[in-house]
Amino acid sequence: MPELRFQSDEELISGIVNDNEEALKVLYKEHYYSILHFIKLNNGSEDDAKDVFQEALIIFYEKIKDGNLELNCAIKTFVYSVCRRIWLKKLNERKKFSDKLIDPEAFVEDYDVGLADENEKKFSIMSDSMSQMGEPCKTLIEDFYVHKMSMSEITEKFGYTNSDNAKTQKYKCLMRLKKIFFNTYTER
Amino acid sequence: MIAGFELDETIEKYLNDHMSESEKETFEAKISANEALRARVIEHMQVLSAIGVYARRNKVSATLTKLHADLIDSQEKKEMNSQPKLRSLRNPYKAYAIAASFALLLLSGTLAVLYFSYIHNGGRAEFRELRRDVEKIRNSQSDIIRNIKSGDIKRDAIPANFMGTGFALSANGYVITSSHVVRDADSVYIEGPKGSFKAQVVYIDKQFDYAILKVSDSTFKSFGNVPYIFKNNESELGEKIYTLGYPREEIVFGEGSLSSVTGYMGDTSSYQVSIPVNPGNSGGPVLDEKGNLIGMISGKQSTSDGAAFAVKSSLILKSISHISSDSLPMPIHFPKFNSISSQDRVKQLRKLKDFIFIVKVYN
Repeated sequence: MPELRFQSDEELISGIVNDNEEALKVLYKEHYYSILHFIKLNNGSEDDAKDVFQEALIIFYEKIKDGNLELNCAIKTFVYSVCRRIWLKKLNERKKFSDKLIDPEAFVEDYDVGLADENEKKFSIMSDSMSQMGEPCKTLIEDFYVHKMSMSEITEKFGYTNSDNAKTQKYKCLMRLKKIFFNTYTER
Repeated sequence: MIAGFELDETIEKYLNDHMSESEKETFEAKISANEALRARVIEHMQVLSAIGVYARRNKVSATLTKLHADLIDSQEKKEMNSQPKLRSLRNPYKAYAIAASFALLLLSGTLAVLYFSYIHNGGRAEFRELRRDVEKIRNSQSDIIRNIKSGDIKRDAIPANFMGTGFALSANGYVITSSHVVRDADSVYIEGPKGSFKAQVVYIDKQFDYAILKVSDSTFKSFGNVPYIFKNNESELGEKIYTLGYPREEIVFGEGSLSSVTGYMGDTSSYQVSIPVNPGNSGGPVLDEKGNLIGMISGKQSTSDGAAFAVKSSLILKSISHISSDSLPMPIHFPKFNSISSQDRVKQLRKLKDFIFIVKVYN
């Protein structure tokens, strides 16, 4: 398979902006092993490395997509420092806190991204709400708002007699979702 | 009073910017005049934004999970490729060709030397010895040819796609098969009566020709309790034994006896077994009458009928116990209890077949 090359960090970022999956692939390949090395040096397992690294990439990805990435260093440094913060936090949670992390390479800046940011809050509350809501509402809402299925496709899939019926169902489900969601969610 | 869903539709039309200028103006006027409507629009906006975040993150998480699996796969492949010494013994045509020509050279050399000594000594004993040596060399040569041929046949029948048998090592998703079955694998699937799962090669041992796979499907929970145990000591000559395997898409039973406590060319890590086996049987379990696992089918000799070989379970067990826990995603909990020892054959098989899989290899 031909691999698209990204010459610079800027190209990589614009690749992500343009939904080029190759960009994420390159990002993953280039940085995973150094993060694995770092996590293993600091009492973590391969699974930990995977979790931490993916969490960091999600933060990076969402920041790019939301247009609020302020990058004043190389992507490598950014990813490393976000991973470092996440790992410190996890070690803390596991009560294995050591104030001295071993850095395999000289480490300069500590990137302070608000880890528990608004997206994190929205995501976790929405995930909980979706599963609390149960079926068929969850699938119905996901089909409409996530998979962008049309009301007539949904009518057919769920076996409603007509599309007004489907709309009423969707409306009721969304009402339920709102109720559960706003039980916990308040905007910052 | 308009129906609830119609108001929702209007709000969404507004939020998605699908309104004409005049519609928008009218709607905005309504919002500023109506506190409740304003609250509702804001709420709707917030919930849609959260759904958006939720959808986007699920999607990117799935992508990352896939990228991770691909990366680990390709890394494993690289690691397998970077063991040239071990590999060249087993792999593939080049090594055999070199071995074949070397054997020929050896043969002609030995012949010449021995012919000389034969002429000089007129020694009968040496002649016999020569014959045995020649036999041996001829055997290994025909074996070499057989290997090349069977490799070809396999490749022709199922292009870029190999199959073997594997069986469960533990309830939590570990499966064992022959290492040559998963050689050069890009992706591996196991398929049994209870469905098909994606698996990852987590460990390869070329010495005893086994590979450990781990089911990586997120839908996978457990195989259930594995009904057989691994026999820890050697089995006896003449014991009745059987295997289950997938030489074709359907599971096939084959029985026989333990015909020698050593394998091909005196290999002490294997048994010779008189069970009819075919390509695809590699990696299949060999069980004794009590349903103890005594070995794993590794191959056969085509020059003599009914001589198949199986790696001894005791050695596999020992070898696995030496794997560092870091190389495995989670510990292997070997079955400790044989739940089929007192059952008749048919009942044993009925139980066993859920734990024996086709190993499908794509590359």
